[in-house]
Amino acid sequence: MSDYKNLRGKKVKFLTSDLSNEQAEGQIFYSDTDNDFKSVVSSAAWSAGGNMITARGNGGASGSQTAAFVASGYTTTGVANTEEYNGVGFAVGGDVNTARPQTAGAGTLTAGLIAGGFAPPSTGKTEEYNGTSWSEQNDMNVERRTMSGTAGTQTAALYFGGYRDITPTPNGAMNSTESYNGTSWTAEPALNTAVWQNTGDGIQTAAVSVGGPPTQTEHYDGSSWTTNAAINTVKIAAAAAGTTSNILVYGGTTDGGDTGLTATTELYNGTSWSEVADLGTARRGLGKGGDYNSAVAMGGLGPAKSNTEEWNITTSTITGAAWASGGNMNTARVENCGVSGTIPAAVAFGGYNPAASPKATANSEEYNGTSWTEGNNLGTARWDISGAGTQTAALVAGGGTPGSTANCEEYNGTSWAEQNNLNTQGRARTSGTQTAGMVSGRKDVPGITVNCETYDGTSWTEIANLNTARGAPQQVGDSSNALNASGTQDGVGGVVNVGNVESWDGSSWTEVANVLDDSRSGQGAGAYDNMMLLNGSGATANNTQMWNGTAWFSGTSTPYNAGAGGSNGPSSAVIHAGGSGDNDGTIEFTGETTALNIKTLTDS
Amino acid sequence: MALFIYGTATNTGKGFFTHEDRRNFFLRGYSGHDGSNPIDVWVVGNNEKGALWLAEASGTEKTKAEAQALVKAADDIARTAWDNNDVDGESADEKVARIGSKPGFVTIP
Repeated sequence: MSDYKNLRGKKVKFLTSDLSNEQAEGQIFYSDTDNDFKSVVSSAAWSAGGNMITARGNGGASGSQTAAFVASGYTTTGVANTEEYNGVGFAVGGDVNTARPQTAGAGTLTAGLIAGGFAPPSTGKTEEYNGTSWSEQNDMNVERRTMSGTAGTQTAALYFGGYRDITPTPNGAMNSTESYNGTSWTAEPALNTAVWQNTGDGIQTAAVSVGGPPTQTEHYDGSSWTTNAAINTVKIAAAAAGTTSNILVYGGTTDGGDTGLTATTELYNGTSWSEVADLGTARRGLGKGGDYNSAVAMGGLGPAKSNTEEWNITTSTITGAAWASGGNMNTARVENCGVSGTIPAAVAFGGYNPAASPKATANSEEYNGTSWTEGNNLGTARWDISGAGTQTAALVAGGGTPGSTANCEEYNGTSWAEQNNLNTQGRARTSGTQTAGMVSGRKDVPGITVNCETYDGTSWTEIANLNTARGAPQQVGDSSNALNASGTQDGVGGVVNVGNVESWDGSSWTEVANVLDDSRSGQGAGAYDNMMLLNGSGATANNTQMWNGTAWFSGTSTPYNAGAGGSNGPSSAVIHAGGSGDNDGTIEFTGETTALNIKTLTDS
Repeated sequence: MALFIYGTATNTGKGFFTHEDRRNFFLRGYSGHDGSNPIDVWVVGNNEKGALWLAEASGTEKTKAEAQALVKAADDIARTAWDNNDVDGESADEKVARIGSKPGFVTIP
């Protein structure tokens, strides 16, 4: 009789601590700590990814699970814009030169390609992407649309199948194959069967065409196409990721329309197809990217969708980023209160209590990760602020009183104490620490200002001005490095939000990429190079925007409108208190975590 | 016992449902409409973990009929939008080529 070592090539190990790497998959071990047999197992499933900024389908998409693009496409009309996915959320990319749905993508996020589409009619237009902008290239030899199959890179691509409806000699579904070398298109051996709304992946010399109305698949070896094993379910306008030896095909429709939308996913192992776990949401014309074991499904139609899903075959248990409810504050706070510290040790203070008279509050309370406890009050009641520092070393400056104040206070974990005032009063955002504080811009000075000041633990010092005056920005960072994002220009033709974002390097402010959605009176958390912006007024409620030091992308939405509350903490562990959606509520954000999927073996 | 729980919950993006969730219970999302706004309708496996997921997603449980009505409302809107999306001089085939076939009605399980 065979034993475990003969079957698996591994002995059962005796360990005092659990295995910790994915190479341990299939390894059975005895835990001397837990007195159990355990093993590391892998599983395959789709999980939710970041939502697209604009719901769409039938765009040109390509890239990896953590660096992909969707260009152009269809909402209820053709759109030109591009969205870039980083594995968490979407950022705005460059517009294509010719908006057209039913185009198809290849390559990577920083060296991308789209070709074909429905201009209308069918087009052979080709564009290359450098991660910032699209540039027109030589057209395909044969115009085509309906998401033809694609494989390869920007300089070695293969496009196959599609539909041509150019009068007076329309082709309909085609078997035409063309290769692209980064400059021009060349006709290649045709598919055995004409297909449209097919999908595919691979490289220029080893590609797979899957689906379209027939279930058959074809493999290309660089010189000819060979008919291969048929997929189990008709898949029209599906997506694919992988190679000729391992490819994943997902979504699509069985009837060409929305009635037959399918969530089914099939995996090819080089020999045969097998049904694996379904998408969470059925859709057609979805954006593809990644590989057979780490794919991404972006948007889609039936109708236009913004949701993204990620496919992983992994030995890890991935706990997704999420917001969770915390304890309720004792005092309701809106109009931007201060929150200093992080989970599980924070202090909330000030704000505007709609149920009290006067509404401006000096109330201060502490959070222990579960509940809030009343502390000693601020010396000056104020709102339209934010908090800097920690629960035991907090800082606030300025604020609405009504009107505004230049007053500054420090908290030592027990009581608030007056410090030297700001040089310029105003409703201000304070960030950083008690010994390296930052205030940039403010309103009700009166009016708005470009003025900025830093705090060294004793006094406030004027520093270089912002390039754009604003109040109620979302601000993070300290006197050495800070980020001032969006905000309002109240009084300049009414309430006008600005999307500008400026980065402080210790000596000057530099304009960086604008936010995705102009926001005022939201709140920021995190650092100058890794920020979460919780949307406030003027921006889509409940949404968050993430900054990675280079670009803004969509983050995990809050469970309610978090505008006009107070936030703090690193961008992977944010605490938010009060605000429009729940005046006394607390929500806590935890970023994605990954752990090895270790299972205890049982006899039942 | 019913196979599924029905509910509405806003897809908050990354982490809304996890790899682990998908292994623990059936989950399928549909486009719905509540008469004012689009709304995500979810069919969730009827077990403890599925019910907990819907609760933690701040979801609102619906009956199957209510969930189906929300999905049908979205279908009706999509079909009306399709009917109204015309271009002068365009044939029926050209319209299908431009925007796809007319959406049908989705039946939730």
